[in-house]
Amino acid sequence: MFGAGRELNAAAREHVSSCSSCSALVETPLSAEIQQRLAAMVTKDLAPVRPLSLTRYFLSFLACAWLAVLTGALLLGGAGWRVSTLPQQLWLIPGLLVLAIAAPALLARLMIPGARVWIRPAHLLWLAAIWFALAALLIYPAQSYPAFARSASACLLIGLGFAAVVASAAWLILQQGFVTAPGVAAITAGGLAGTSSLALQFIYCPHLDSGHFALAHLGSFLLSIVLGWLLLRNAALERLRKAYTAN
Amino acid sequence: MTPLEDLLERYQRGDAEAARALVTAFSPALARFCRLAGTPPDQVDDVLQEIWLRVHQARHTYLKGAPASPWLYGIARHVRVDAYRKRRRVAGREFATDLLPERAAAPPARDSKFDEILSALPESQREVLVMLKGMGMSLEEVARATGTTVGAVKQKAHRAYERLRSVLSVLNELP
Repeated sequence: MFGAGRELNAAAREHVSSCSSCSALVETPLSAEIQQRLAAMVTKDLAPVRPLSLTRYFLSFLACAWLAVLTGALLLGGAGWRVSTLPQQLWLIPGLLVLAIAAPALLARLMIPGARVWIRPAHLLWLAAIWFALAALLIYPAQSYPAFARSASACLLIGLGFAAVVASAAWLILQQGFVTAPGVAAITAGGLAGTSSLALQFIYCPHLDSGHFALAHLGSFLLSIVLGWLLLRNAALERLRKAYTAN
Repeated sequence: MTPLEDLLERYQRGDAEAARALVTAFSPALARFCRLAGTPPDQVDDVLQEIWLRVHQARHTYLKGAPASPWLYGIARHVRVDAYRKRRRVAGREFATDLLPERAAAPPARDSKFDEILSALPESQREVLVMLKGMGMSLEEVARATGTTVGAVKQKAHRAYERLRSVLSVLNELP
C-alpha cells in the first residue's frame, strides 16, 4: 500500500486525504538533505561488482564436504564400507546423498538476502535425524562388547574433528555473501558438517551395532548441528555487533 | 524487469546515476517500513543510513533477474532487527538512579492510534503485516524477505488479523 512505486487505490486515497494519522504515514518522512547524504554515501567510491554465483558457491560447499570425506577415507580406510550390509547401504546412502546436496544448496541460498527457500533447513535436519535414528533402530543389530565406550568415544571424536573442519570452511565461505539469518546459516553449516562426519564414519568405522551407531555416528551428526548453532551463530552475532559498533 | 531490478543491476555495474535514483526512489519506502515495523521515529534516519550501507556492501549478492524487493527488504529487515537488538541491549544495561529528575512534560504519546494498535502485535506478526499491507508485497515476496515459507507467512498474517480484530473490538467497546 505504501511501498515505492505502488499507487494507492481510490478508496485508500480518499481515506488518506481526510485522516491525519494515515496521511502522516503516506507522506515522505525524509528530508532532501538526508536523501542527498545517503546518495553521496552509496556513490562514493562506487565500483562495479561481480554478482555472486549461486552455482559457484553451491559447488564450493559441496567440495568442502566431499573433500573432507575423501581425505578422511584415505587416512582411515574403508573398513566400514566393506563390512556394511546391503540394507544398511540402501538406508544410509540415499539419506546422506539428499543431505549432501540439499545442505550446500541451502547454504548457497542463505548467502543471498531474499532468496527462495523451498524447505526450512531446521525441518530438513529434523527429518534427516529421524531417518538416521530409524536406521539405528531397524537396520543395525543390538550387540554388546567390552570396548564399547572406548570405541564409541573415539569414533565420536574423529567424527566431530572432521565436522569442525567442514563447518569452519563452510563458515568462511558464507562470509562472502550477506547472511540475514545467522542462526539458520549456523545450523545448516553444522548440518553439512554432521553429514560429512556421518558419511566418513559410514566408510571407515567397522562397528555395526545400533548402540555404537546411535551414540557415535548419529551423536556426531546431532552434536555438529547443536555446536554449529551455538558457536557459529554467536560468532556471527559478535561480528554483526562489531560491525554495528564500528559504524 | 521492474524499475527496481533495472536500477539494482545498473548499480552493480557501478552506475552512480542508478545508485542515486535507487536511493531517492526507495528511501521513503524503506523509512516507512522501519517506522511501521516499530523503529522509534527519532532512530529511523540512523537505521535507514545503516540499511543503505549494508545494501552497498551486499550489492554483489543481488542475482540478475531475481525479484528485487525481497532482496532489499530482506536486508532492511535484518538491519532493523539488529537495531532493535541493540536498543534492547542498551535498555538492559540502563538502571534507574535513586533520584529521578522531574519530567519537564508528560511522557511522549504514541504517534497515532494506528501505531498503538500495531504495537499490540508480536514483533514477527507486525513485520509480516507491515510488509503485506503496509508495503504491498505479495506472500511470496514476504516469504523470501523473511527467509521462510509462504505457509508460515500466511499463518503469521492470520494470527495478526485475529489479534487485531480482538484489539479493535476492545477499543470499540471503550467509551
